[in-house]
This record gives sequence, C-alpha cells and structure tokens, in this order.
Amino acid sequence: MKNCSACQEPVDVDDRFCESCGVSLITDLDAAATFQSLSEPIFPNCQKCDSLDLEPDGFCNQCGSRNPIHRDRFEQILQPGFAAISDRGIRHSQNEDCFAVAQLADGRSIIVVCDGVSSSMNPGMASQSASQSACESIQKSLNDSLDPEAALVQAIHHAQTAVAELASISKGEPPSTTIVAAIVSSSNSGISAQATIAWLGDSRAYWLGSTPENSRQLTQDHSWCEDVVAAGQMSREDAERSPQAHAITRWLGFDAEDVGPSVVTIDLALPGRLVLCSDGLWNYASSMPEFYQALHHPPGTEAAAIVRQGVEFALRCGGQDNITIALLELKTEVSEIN
Amino acid sequence: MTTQFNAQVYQNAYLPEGSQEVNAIMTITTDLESGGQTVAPSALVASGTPRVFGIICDTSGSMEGVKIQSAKQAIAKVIELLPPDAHFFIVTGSSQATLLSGLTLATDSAKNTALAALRTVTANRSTAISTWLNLALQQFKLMPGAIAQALLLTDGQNDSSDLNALDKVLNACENQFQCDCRGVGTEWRVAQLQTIARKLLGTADIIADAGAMESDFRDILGQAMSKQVSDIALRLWTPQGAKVLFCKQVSPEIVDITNKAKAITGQIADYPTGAWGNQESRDYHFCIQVNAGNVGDEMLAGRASLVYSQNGVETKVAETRILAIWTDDEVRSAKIDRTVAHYTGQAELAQVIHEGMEARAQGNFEVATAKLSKAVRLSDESGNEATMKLLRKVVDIEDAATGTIRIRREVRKEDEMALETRSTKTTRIKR
Repeated sequence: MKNCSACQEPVDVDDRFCESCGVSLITDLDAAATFQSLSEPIFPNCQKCDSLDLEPDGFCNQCGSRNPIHRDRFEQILQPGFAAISDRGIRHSQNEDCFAVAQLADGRSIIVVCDGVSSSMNPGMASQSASQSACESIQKSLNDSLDPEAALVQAIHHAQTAVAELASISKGEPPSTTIVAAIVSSSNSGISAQATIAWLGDSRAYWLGSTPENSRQLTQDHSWCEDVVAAGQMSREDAERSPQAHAITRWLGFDAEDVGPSVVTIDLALPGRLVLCSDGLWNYASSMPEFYQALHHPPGTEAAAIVRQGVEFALRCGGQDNITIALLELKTEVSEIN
Repeated sequence: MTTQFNAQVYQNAYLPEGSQEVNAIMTITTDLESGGQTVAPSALVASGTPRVFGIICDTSGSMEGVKIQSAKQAIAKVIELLPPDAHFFIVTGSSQATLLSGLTLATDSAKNTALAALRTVTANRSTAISTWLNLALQQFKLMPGAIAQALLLTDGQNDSSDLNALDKVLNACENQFQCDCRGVGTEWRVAQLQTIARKLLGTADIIADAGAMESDFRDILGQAMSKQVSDIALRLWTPQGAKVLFCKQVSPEIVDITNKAKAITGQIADYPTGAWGNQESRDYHFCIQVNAGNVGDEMLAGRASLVYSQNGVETKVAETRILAIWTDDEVRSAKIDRTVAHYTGQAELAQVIHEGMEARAQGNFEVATAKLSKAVRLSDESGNEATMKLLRKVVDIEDAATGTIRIRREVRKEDEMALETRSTKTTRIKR
C-alpha cells in the first residue's frame, strides 16, 4: 500500500494513475525502465527454434529468425486520456522513432516525439536519446519554475548535445533525428488550456477539436517542400510532387545547423485532443480533414485505444514508415460534471 | 591518420514462398578521417603500420635485351620513389632465385646500394617462379605484421617442371603477402599469371610494350604505399542450415573469394580482403542459400562485418545485415535489386568473354561469335566502356546494342591477352 504523492490518498502498487486525483503514478524510474528494455527481445527464447542465443536486434544467432523486440512496438499509458505508442510499421526493418511522455504532479503534461533520420547512422539511438533527454530536461526546468518556452528551448539544446555526442561512436553520417515537444497546462479554473510547442523537422502537432472546423495542424514542417512554398517559389501541388519534397531542412544532430527550433504557444479551445506524431502517420492523412477522420473518436474513448487505432490505420495504408502517435485529451470541467 | 570503414547492403530482401536463394551486394568504403569530427579509436584502425614492398624480377634468358633493360630502369625508378619509412627487398629469379637486395629500410644509402646491385643484373637460364616466391616469402617473414605487397614481373611461361612446386609455394604464401603480377610481351600465359594473382589477392595484367613498364610500376608502388591497414577480414555469419553459395568481390574487379573462406565456427567464416588504403571502395556479392521460410517469416540470412586484427585483439569496424523476408506479394518479390542485377551482369560479362576467347582460340568461330556478341551487348548495357574498348580490338562492332559483330581476322596477340586479363574489371552502377 502506498500513497499518491499529489493528493496523499492511498493507491494500489500496480495502479498506473491515482483513482482519487487522476495523476500519473509512473515515476521517472519506471520511464527509465521502459527505455532500458526497449533494446531487448520480448521473449528470452527464439520463437522459432527455442534457442536462448538472441541478439539485441531480435535475430536468433542459431536459426536467424527475427524475434519481436520491445522497440518494434511499445506504448505508454499515463492516464485514460494520455497515451503514446510507437510501431515499426511494415516496410522498415527497425523502429527508429521514439517518444517520451510525462505528467507532473500539478497536472502539466509533457510530450516529445522523435523520428530518427534513416540515412544517418544509428537513427534509433538518436531518437531515443533525444526524446529521453528532452523530456527529462523539461521536467527539471518546469520544476525550477522556468516558463514553458524557455523550458522547451533549453530541452532542445540538451537533446542536440546528446545526439551530437553519438557522432563520436558512430561511423558514417552522424546520427540525426527530428523532434517535436509540447508542454500543456490547464488554467486553475480548468476552463482553458495552453500548449507550448517547439520542433525541428517534420514531426507534427495537431489539435483535434470536437469538429473538423475547430481542428488544425499546429506546426509547420521544416522541409524542402514547405520552404519553397513559403518562399513563393513553387505551388504546393508542384512542390509536393518533387522527389525531394520531404527532405527535412532542420534536425538534431552533429551536423545540424545552429538554428533554433520553431516555437508556438496556443490557447486551446476545449474540449479536444492534442496529438503529436511522426510522418509515418500523417503521410497517410496529410490534409486536415483526412487527419481528423483518421483520428477522431467519440468523447470518452480511451487515449490508448485511439493511438492504437491510429497505428492500425497507418499499417492498413501500407506502413511504409515507423509510426509514432502521442495523444492527450483535454476536457472542460463542465463535461466532467456531466 | 586513421581509417574509417563504412558498409552498406543492397538487396531485395523479399522472396517468393519456397525460395531459398538470397543475393546481396555489400559496398565497403574507407574514408580519410574527416576534419573536426572526433571518432573513437575502436571504430577506426590505426595506421603507422610498417610497409614492406617486394620486387620480384624475372631474369631468365628470354628477358635478354630490351626487356631486361626496361625492367632494370623501371625498378630503379621504383627504388627512387620509395618513401623513406618503407622497407623493401629485391629478388631476381631464373631457374633459381637470388636475393639482390635484402630487406632494408628505404634510406638513401640503402637505395644506392640496391641501385648499384641492380646494374649488375643479367638475363640467363630458365624460369622457376616457385623459387622466386619462396625467397620473397622468407623476406616478408622477417617483418611479420607489416603491410606486405609485392610486384612480380615475368616474360615467359613457368617451367613445366616447376608446376607442383609452384602450387605448394602459393599455398604457403597465401595470406602472407599480396602480389601484383605483370607479364611483359606476349610469350607468357594469362591463366598462369592469373592463378598466382588470385591466390595472392593481387592484380594480373599485360605490359605489351616494355617501354610502358616504368609508368605501370609507379602505379603499383603508389597503390601499395597507399595501403593503411592489413589483415581486414570479411566475417560472414549465416544461420544454421545455411550455405554460402559464393562470395565474390565484384568491384573494382571480379575476384571469387568463395574458396578462401576460413571457418571460425560452424556458422562463421572469415574471407581475406587484403590490405586497404584510404578512399578505397569495393563491392562484394554474397549469395546465400537458406532454409525456405513461410510467407510472413523474416530471417537474418547473413551478418557481414569487417574485422580488424592486431596483436591478437579483434575489432569490428563495420557491420551489415542481409535479410530474407518471405512474401506472397509477387510484385515485391519479383523485383531484382538494381545493384545485384548490375553485378550479376558484370560477372556474366567476364564469363562470356572468357568463353568466347577460348572458343576462338580453339577455332570454334560460331560459338566465339555468339559469346562475344553477348559480351558486346552486356558491355553496352552496363556502360562498361573500358571493356568495350578492349572488345573493339578483337571484334568489329556494327551495332553494340544488338550485339551485331564480326570477329576480326587479324588480332594482335597483345590485344587478345589484354582482353583476357582485363575482362574482370567492372564498372560501378550509377546511383
């Protein structure tokens, strides 16, 4: 038997969140444990030949059969309304996406999603290192009373240092990754909420309101396509057809230019859902109506179910890339009373 | 200066149900350490390894005249060009071998001594190459662990009485030193020199005109001195029940190293790759036979890595995976990876040139025409201009794309031999 650190009500050892005040009971230690086991096979023995001689990447040293590793598909559920999932997809042989999520005792939520650049070395290490270090940095900054924008800028700086360091143990192109990070806080009255989002690359943040009309994409990709359209050099249709449309123009990594992240702060019109995701999802639903359709669910649907179904949607569409989706539901006080 | 290795695999991992053959091309590139980027020692291979260059020169009777004079001149140039931190020796050979200049550091005085000895060389007697290689081996053994490279020049055929001995000596020399072989004139046999070069991981080529010796020797020396690391093995792990059908270097030229594999365990074999310089790039074609899987199965057909050994310590400097994924998607499994297709074509090209020239030598002109026609087509398709140029000396080409050709009546012996020795050089695919 232990007590919730936020409201002191008794909680069960196995509870993931406090039934009295709803705060996440997952400590930093648990999050670290999740990441620790990411690079391990899920079962100790080969599913085909039963050998215990498995490599960390899941391949059996005896029969060569591929065994599932945690990194292929992992999820984290912090609340009924707050969950994240990452899936390898169908085409890629490794999952090079990663995420980190956390919730502070005061209810503020943190989401980080990273997509390792496939053409660089050790992209999976890059995305894992970036998401973990960014999330830890944000938690510390918020506890030290920094404002959200400063916390995010600081976190991205820490993530950049962590990823740049990987270049020293990698051969070839330095490990690189995108990053999109969000800090969400509700006002004291619980009527409104604010999200501050920072990003580098083409992983995105969306706000899904109760209708498609009050839903929108909150970030703008740092990609060749966006750059030429914004500069008026090409129409969007023409730009999107170019083979280099999706080449990212900003990222984290040893060889990244010293340009800071883009940052936005948004007042969120509740109720709704904040979604952060990698391009393995949005590539299949790149317009706002399509995205809304893919992820919209009735109020009350658990976040875990929504993100899992989001992955299924992307897999049905072909699963050409790794898929990562983090979702945070924000309700108004009024609807909770109902 | 340190050497960084990079490896990449090209393959279509998708196989139709029941299929067992997995093909993959592995490209290995070495890069000079890029400025400003710190790289941990384990990822790189330290240089500062000593280098030994062995010069092995035929002084049999047939070399008398222009050939021995050109050889002496070319060797003198090589001695002059040797960097002061390299070691060298000179073996001259006829029916027995003579140590003209024993293993020494290439100081000015050592060079002068060697040059003086060189001036005394004359040509006589017959050719027993085994004795020359044996003496060279003894010299190389004086400096174990050094990057060992040799240049062998001959003008004629090895005595038939020497063939058994040569076989034995080649086995002893294998993996001890690399040897580039050159045949001057047209009296030597291509197959014979190629056997030596293949065994000793070197190149074989013709020097048609003795006057061209000097520039060729300079190139060989340059290549040898550019090597930074030796003892790099291509280590291939395969799953239980799998069989390596072949492992060939396919670029810059085709060298079948399947039979050079040294088994480490039942599933792991090391293939020798010789010494590497900075800014080198080579492609290897693996063909692995695995147990067939069911649709949906995914298996690692091979793990190919580069392993560097020094002082008994092994370091892995690159690693790639060769996958097999069984699918019922015919579109996906029917695709042949461009790079695999390209090198399969280049190997076919080399093979068909060899067969064509053999048929021609036997007077079987119908077969020869058919084979060389295919060779022209394959050269044209793959843009292998170097090989096309050599083919033009042997056949008249009306239309390269369709392979419409006519075998020439008069073909110079040196053009025949050049085509045969250089047919294994490949082009790279445009990426």
